[in-house]
Amino acid sequence: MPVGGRSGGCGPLRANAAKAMNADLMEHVQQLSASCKLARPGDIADLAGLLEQCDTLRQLAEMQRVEAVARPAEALGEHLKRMIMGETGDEQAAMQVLSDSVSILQAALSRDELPRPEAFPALLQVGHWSADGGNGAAAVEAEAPWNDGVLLPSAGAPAEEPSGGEEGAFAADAELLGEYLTEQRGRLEEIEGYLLALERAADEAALGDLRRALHTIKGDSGFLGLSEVAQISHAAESYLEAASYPYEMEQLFAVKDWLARAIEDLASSARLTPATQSSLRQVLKRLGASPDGEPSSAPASAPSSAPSSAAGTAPAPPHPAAAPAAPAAAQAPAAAAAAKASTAPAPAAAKPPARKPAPVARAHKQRDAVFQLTADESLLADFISESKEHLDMASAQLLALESEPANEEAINCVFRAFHTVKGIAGFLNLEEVQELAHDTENLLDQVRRSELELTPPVIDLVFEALDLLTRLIGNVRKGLESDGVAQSEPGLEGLLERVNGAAQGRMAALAPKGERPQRLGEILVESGAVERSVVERTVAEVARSDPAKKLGEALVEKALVTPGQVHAALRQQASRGPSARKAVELKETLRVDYERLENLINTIGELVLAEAMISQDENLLQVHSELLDKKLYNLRQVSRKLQELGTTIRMVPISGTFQKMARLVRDLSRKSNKPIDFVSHGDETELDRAYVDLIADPLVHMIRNAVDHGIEPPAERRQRGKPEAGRIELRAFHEGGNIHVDVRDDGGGLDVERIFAKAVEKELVAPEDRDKMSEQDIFQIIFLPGFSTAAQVTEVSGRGVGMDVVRRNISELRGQVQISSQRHAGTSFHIILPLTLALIDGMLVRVGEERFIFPVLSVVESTRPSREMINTVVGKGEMVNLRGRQLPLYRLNRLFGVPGAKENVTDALVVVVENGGRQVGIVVDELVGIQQTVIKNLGSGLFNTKGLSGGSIMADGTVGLIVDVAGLISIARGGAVGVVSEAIN
Amino acid sequence: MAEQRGQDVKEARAELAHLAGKYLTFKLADEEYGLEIIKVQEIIGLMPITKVPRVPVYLRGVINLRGRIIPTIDLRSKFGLEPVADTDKTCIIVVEVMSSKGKVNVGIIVDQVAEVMDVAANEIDHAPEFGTALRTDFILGVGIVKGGVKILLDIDKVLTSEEIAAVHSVAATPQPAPQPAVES
Repeated sequence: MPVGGRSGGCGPLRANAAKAMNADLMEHVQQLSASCKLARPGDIADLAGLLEQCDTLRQLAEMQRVEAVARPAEALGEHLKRMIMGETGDEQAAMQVLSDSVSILQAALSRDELPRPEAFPALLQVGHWSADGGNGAAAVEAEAPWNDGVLLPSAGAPAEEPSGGEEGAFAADAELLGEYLTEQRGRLEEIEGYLLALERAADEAALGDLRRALHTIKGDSGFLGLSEVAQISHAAESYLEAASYPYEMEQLFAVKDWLARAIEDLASSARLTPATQSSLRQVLKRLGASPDGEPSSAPASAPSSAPSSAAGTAPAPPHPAAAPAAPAAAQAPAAAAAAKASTAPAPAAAKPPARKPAPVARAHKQRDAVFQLTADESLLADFISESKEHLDMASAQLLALESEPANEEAINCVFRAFHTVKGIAGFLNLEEVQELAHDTENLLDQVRRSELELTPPVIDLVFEALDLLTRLIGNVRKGLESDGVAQSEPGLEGLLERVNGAAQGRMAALAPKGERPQRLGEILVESGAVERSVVERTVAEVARSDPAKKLGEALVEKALVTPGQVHAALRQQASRGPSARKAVELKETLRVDYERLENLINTIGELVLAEAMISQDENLLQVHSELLDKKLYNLRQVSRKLQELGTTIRMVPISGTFQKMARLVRDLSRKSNKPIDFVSHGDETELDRAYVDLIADPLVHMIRNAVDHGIEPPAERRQRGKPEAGRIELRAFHEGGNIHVDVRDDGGGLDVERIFAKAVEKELVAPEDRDKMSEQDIFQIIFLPGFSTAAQVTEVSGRGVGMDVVRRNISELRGQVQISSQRHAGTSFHIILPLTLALIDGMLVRVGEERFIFPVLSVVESTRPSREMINTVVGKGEMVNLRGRQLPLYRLNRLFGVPGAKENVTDALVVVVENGGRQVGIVVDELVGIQQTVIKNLGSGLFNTKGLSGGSIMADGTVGLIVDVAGLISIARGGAVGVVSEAIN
Repeated sequence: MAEQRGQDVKEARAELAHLAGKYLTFKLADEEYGLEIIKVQEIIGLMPITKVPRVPVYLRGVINLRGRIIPTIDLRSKFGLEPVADTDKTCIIVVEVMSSKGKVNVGIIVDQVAEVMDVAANEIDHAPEFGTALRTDFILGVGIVKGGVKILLDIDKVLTSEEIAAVHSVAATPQPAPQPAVES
C-alpha cells in the first residue's frame, strides 16, 4: 500500500466477536475524542487527564489483543507526555496531531475496521504492529518516511474521508448521524445566544465561543461527509475572522437559520432537501459579499504557530525544504518509538524541556514582514483591480465545485484565475503573491489531471489560498496608497506548506489554528514574578511527580511566587483564553434515550405507590412494632427521594426557549421598525422537558402581540416621554411548586373600552354587560378565538388567532394565564404552570360512590353554601352568590352521570374552579383530601375523555380520575343535550 | 365445474393459511371465541374497575395494571349480548391493539377463559356472510376444532370500531340500543 498521506486505509476486523470488543474500545475512543476537544493545550492537568485516558485505552486494547488500537494509544500517551514536558514546541500543532489521531482511530472503529499504522500523523511516531500478517507494515517500511525519526510538518491523515455518496445524501451510519444531530441542535441554540450577545455589544467571549462552535460544527460535519454544512460553517468562521465588529448580523443569523434547516432536513430524511441546498449558495454569497467585498478566511495565527518543527527529508517540498535546525531532542523519542521500547514510559523526562520551538529556518530566505513595491504604480493598480476580478470568479466557481466536484469547467476556471494572477504578479515582482498563486495552481493542476480528488478539505485549502491572496493584494493596494511598502501576511508560510503538502498527497488539511490561551507560566514570567528557567524546571518536576497538580500550586508550594500573583495570573489567563472559561461551565452529562427516561420515571411512580400501599396496609397497621415503623419510615424516605429525583430528572433550563424569543424579538423589531430591548430574567429556571416545546408557541404569540400592538412606534413613545426603544421582558421563576413565566412590555397597554366595543361589535357580549364586567373579565375577551382589535391584519398578527392559541396551549399544560395592563404603561401576561406534566397537586373529592381529582391549580376555593346563596334562574340553571359575585353552579353528578350523590346543595360542597379567568361553582359531595398525584394517560385513543385529563393510581390501588376543568365547563355549557350526544360519541 | 369449485376452495384455504397458529379461546354467552395468542398480554382476575363518565356503556372503566391505567371493555356489552353478573370465572384478558395513537393495552372482560389451542390451516374457514345486517369484518375466520366452532376475532377491529354493538344488537338480539354511561 502506497503511503501518501491520504492513507487512512484499514483492515477489516476479522471475527464477529471483535465487534463487541470494538464497541467497548469505541466508547473509550469517543471519550478520548471528547476530552481532546475540551482540553487546553497548555494545561497540564488537562493533558494529564488525556494521558490517563490513553493509558486506559491502551490497557483495554492490550487486554483484547487489538494491537492496532493499543499501539496508537501507546503512541498517543508518549506524545502526551512530550506535550506535558513541553517538548513538542508548538502546542497547537501537537494538540492537532493528537486530535487528528484520535479522529482516525474513531473513524476506523466506527466503520468496524482497524486503523493502519501509516494512517497516523508521523509526529505521533506510532510503532509498528502486524496488521493482517504484517504485510502492511512491511510495505510501509519500504516507503514511509514516518519511521525515520523525522518530524514532518504536522502531516496528518485526513480525518475527513471523501463522502462517496450522492450529493447531499448522507453516507455515515445512522447512529453517528443521530448523535451528530442531537449535538448540533444544542450547539445551534448556543450559537443563537452568542449571536444575540454579539449583536448587543462587541462581546469578545461570545465571539470566541461562536467561532469555536462554528468550528466544531465544521469539524463534525466534515467528519460525517456533510460537506454543505461544513462549508457554510467554514464560510461563517472565515467571515468572522476577516471582518471586525460590528458584523453583518443578518448574514450570521441567516447562517444559523440555514444550519437549523439543514439539521432538521437531516433529521427527517437524512439528506438535505433541494430547497435547503439551493438556499445554501445564497447564504454563502451573502456571507462572502459582506463588508467591502473582501470575502476572507485565513489563518490568523502568528508565524510561530505555523508548523514549527522543521521538515527534514520530507519528499522534496519546494518551500520548507531541508531544515538543518531540527531539534536534536526530537530525534531521540522518535528513534525510541521506532525501536519500540516496549510499553515503558518514554525516556522523555531525561531530556531538557525545549519549550520554545527552535527557530524555523526558511527555505529560500528569511521572509520579511514587508515587501517593496518596485513595479510601476499604474501597472500595480491595474493588477489590483484585475486580480480582484479573477479571484472573485475563482471564488464563485469554487462554490460551484463544492456541490459538483466533477465540474471540469469550474476547475479549469479556478485554475486559470490562479495562473493569471501568478503570471502578472511575477511580472510585477510581487513575490509573495506569485508564490502562493503558483503553489495553489500546482495543486489545482493535479485536480485537473485527476491526480487529486477535490475533497472538501482541498476546497477549503483553495479557499484559504484565495482569501490570503485577496488580503495580500489588499495589502499591496494599501502600500501603494501610502509608502510603497506592502505588508506580508502572517499565515502565508503555513498556508504554503499546507498547499504543498496537499499537492504531494499529504492532506493534512489542517484548519487554521485559533489562538491559544496564554500559559500560566508565561504570564508569570511576563509579569516578572518569576524567572523563566524556574517555571520550566517546575513544569518538568510537576509533570514527573504529579501530573494532576497545577503549575500554580507547585510554584506556591515552593514559595517561588505568592498565591496572589498566581491568582492575578489565572485571572489574566481566563480573560485572554475564552476556552478556559468554557471548560469550567461544562457539566458532565450523559445522553439518555427519552423513552428509557420515561420508563424510569414511571417505575419510580410505581415504587412510590407500592410504598404507599405497604405503609397503609391494614395488616401491617395492626403490628405495633417500633422496628417495623423505622423500616417503613426508611422506605418512605428513600422512595420520596427517588420521586423527587424523578421529577427533576426531566427538568431543563428555560434558557433555550428564551433565546428563541430573543431572536424573535430581534427579527420582529427589524420588521416593524421599532427598536426594542429584550431582557430576560431567570433563564436558568428549570422546567419539564415536555413543556419546552409546548410553551414556545404561546410565548411567540404573546411576543408578537406585544411588538405589533403593544409597543408604540418610536415617535409616539417620544411624545409620551418614554424611551424610544421599547422593552420586552421575559421572566421565569419558581414559586409555590409552580413555574411562573411573565411576558411584559412597556407599550400602550390594553384599551379596555376598545376591547369591549369590539366585543360588542362582534356580538360576543351585550352592551349592557359592561357594568357587570371587571377589567379582568374584559381582558379575558382577547383570548376568545377570532377576536382582534387590530384595525389591520399585519404580517405579524391581527387575525385573532394568537391569543386563542395561548389560552388553549396553556390550559393543555394545566396552567393559567393572567393579564394585567395599564394604559400607556404596558401589558403583562402572567403564566402559571405546574412544575411538571407528570405530577399535580390534586384535590380529591367524592361524588356518590365515585371519586374525582381536581387540580389544585384550578381550584379557587371551596365552600359549603347556605340556602340563601343559591339562586335558581329559570332556564339558566343555578347560580351561587359568592360575596356578591354570581357564579354559575354545576352539579358534578349530573355532568358525569354519577348516581347516589347528594341532591341538596346545602349538604354538599361547592368547589369554585377557574379556567381562563372564568369562575364556576361545581357541586360535589365532600372533600376527601389533598394529595400529590402522578398523572397517567387514560389509555385513550379508544374513547373520548372530554372533561378528564388523565388518571392517577390512588393509595388503595384503584384508579382515580383527574378532572379537566376547561373540558368540564365546556360540557356544562353544552347542556343536557350535549351530554347525551357526547356520551354516544 | 366441480374442478373449478375445488380450485376456489383451495384458494380460499390458501388465503386463510396465514391464520393457522395458536389461539386463546374464551367463552362468552354460549359461544366460544379465539384470540390470536400474539395479541394477548396476560390474563388477570377481575379487579376493582373505576367507572369513567361519559363513555360508551361497553367501556366498563379503567383498571390499574401494575401502575398502568388500562381501559377495560365488557365484550358482552360490546357485542350487544345480555349482561350477566360477574362470577368468579369472569376474567380480564389484556390485549395489545393498534389504535389511532399507536399500541394500546386494553382489557376485555369475558365470561371464562377456556384454553390455548393450535388451529391448523385446514380447520379454518371464512366467516359466514350475513349480508349487510350483520357485520362480520371483525371476524378473521371460523375455526372448526374438535367438533366445536370457534369464532376467531380480529381484536383490533373489535375494539376500534364503534358500531359493532349497535349493528349486532339489531341483527341478533332484540335488545335496546346501549344507553349512555349513566349508571342505573
